Amino acid sequence: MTLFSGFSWIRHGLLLLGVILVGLVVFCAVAASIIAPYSPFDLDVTLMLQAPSAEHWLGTDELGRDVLSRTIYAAQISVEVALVAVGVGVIGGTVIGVLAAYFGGFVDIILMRLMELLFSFPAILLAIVLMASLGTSILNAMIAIGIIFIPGFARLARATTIEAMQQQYIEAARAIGMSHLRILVREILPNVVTPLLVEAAVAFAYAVLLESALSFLGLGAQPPDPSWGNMLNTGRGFMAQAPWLSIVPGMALFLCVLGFNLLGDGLRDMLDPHLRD
Amino acid sequence: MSTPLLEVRSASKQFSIGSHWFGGTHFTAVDTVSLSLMPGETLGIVGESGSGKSTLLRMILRLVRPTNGNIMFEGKDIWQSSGSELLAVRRRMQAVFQDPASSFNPRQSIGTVLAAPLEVHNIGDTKSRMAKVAETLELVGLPPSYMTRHPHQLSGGQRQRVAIARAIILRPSLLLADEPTSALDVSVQAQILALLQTINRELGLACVFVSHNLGVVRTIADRVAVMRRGEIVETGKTQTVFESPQHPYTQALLAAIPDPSRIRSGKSLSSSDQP
Repeated sequence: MTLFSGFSWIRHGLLLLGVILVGLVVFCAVAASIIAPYSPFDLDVTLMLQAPSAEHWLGTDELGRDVLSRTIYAAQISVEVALVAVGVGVIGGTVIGVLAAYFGGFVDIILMRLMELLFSFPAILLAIVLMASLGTSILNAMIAIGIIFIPGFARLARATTIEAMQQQYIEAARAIGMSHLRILVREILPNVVTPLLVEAAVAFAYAVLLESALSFLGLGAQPPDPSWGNMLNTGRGFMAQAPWLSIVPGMALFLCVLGFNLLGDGLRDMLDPHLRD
Repeated sequence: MSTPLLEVRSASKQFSIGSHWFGGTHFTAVDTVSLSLMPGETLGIVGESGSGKSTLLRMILRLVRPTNGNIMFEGKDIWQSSGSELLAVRRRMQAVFQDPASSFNPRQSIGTVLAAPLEVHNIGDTKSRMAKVAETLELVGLPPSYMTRHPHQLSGGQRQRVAIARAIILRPSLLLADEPTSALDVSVQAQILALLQTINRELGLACVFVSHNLGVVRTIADRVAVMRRGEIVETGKTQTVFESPQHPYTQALLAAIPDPSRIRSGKSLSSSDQP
């Protein structure tokens, strides 16, 4: 016990780091208007491309806007997009996966082949195609990223449901006379939720990355709305003169994704009954 | 003579193996089995693993659809009924399953598990259900305080008591037991068997008791059906079947029971040595 407590402490230490990073991002998103020192939209051409200073901690961009404020506001968009996209993915995926597993046969075949069809496209390509057909807006980015997540969650939900259904208590529930809906909600869903929760944390990181990628390509958040993706894209043109334009949103993205990944890993270790002591 | 409580009429079950499209084949788990059970009677079904005992039981429970034949409960085909009629059948016919480890949702407390049948059948309100749960727990020899416990906090024998409680809480007329003692220690087996016998007697339950353990069946059953490869090869009163088995398979089965007295006296266990 004492021999291994060091290992588990490291594990929980990383989880703690994840929680802190995620907490920081979420705090920035929620309290952006309070903590940001300037408006993310105020232009001042006399201040353009200024290096970090006491007034502008992280410098200014090519239009004289405060980079720190824009980075903080960008967290808002990232968290919003990720939240909606993961929500769409989890709900859509769970419904499809659980139904496929529970009813099996024809329902299973149709639903899962559909999921495999979605899976067969590279995520970013699928997102671009969806954005192109839905039109470029931040709402459509949320939907597109959400659709990309559906097959992954559906597979996971299906696998856990199949596992749960092999338990005798499902047969016992049927023998009692429980309805399909009641069995699904009472006996199966609680078993599916834990692995989905872990997967959702990891998907969150991926959603933030995808949103940034779409915005980088000009398909997500539209200027002047700040997003780490479109800030990176702008910064690309000023790499030599003003490296902070790329480094700051890049670091923000990195820390956000790292935070959600650590949170996901930590949750998995904590919730997995096989690893729990 | 009154109508049987349960009647299985030439029921068969075939499972397909492999893909339907790529030349799959069929496996007959239950082959034209007929049997009947009178109210209050205990029927033991014995046979080796894979003989179709459990499939037969699951057909009676309406968990597996028979390929052919009918399952009649109180004179009605259970596969013809649906909705509230089916619910009424389910209420009168309850089951105890083999594996006490997986027959409860690990996330639910014993109280929740036991109240579920009452909820499904809309019996009483929350308060009266809890009273009923407590009463039923006492009936199976567990203190009502166990309501708040979770399945993993119970021993195998205690869990099987809870399983029996779940089966009898609706006061059914037929209890189907699928190897209820096979996952338990021998000492605990005897307790659970005794409990089942007491409950069957007190509540006047008819019981179908499936087991591969001949000793267990001999203790509990009024009549025995011997199954082999999906067919019933011999059926009759327990005493008759055990004392003068007719079918060679039954004779072989009985001969395979280890008898301590024979081992002590140094006799062989060959099939010629009938108990």
